[in-house]
Amino acid sequence: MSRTLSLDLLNAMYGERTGEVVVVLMEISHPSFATVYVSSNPTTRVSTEPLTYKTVSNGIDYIYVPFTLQIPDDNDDQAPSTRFAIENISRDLVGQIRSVDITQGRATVTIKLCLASDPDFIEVEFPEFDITSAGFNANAVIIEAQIDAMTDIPYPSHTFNPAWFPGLHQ
Amino acid sequence: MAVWPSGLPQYLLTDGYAQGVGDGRIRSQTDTGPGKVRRRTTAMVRPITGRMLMTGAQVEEMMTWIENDIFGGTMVFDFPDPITRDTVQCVMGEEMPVVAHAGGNIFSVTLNLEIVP
Repeated sequence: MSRTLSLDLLNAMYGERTGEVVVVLMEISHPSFATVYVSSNPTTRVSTEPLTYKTVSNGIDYIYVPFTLQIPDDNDDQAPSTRFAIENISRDLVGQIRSVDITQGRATVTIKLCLASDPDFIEVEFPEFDITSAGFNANAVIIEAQIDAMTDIPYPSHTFNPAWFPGLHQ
Repeated sequence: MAVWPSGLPQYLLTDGYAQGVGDGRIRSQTDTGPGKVRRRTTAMVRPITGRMLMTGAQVEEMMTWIENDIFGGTMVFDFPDPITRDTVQCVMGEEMPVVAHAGGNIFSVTLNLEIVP
């Protein structure tokens, strides 16, 4: 699927030398917590204690968090998926992941790309990916997400074992 | 926010002073030519290095301040900019202050700071 990109972004992507910075903005949503807005670029300082930065895009403050992102793929034979690793700079992240009530549905993540020189203009948007797994270790929280997760996740979730279906094993 | 103690010298000595430029680039080496360079972030820390001469009592005061006010060198603090004399926000750089004896009750303290954006 082709996308329409601005000339500024194309020049920044293909130029051998450029002063433009591509900024990734992410919005992580779930009914059990307030939407989390994060940015990949420390554009302006928010506070010194703790030392916090943000990017303002269309009136929303995206808090700077160091993370790496794998841009969603574009294969014909499977739904787009993505993976990102947030540096585990605070243990609050782990608590928030554990507190997600899965019965209220999956958390979703929207990924946007913009240029640091014009953060209000969203160059590319990857909307509403379902978060399918969230793991963590001492260094990072690793989250995987895909569009339309229902098509790739086994159903039913139970297996026909004696614990769930004792009648089958009598 | 912590402030560099007023009882300590407020400016770095000219001798040994060095200031760097924050590097927010990512460089890709090519087989030939000058390589490719692009900007990776818009906010960079600016490193400064310099020395101060302090008395023994001042060194003690600095050590106490580092331990109690900036918690072992982890917190941001106000520091007078060596060039503009304005107040800037700094953190301790990769190396913590190094104290060397300069003779008598005078000590040479080497500071490695980073001005945060």
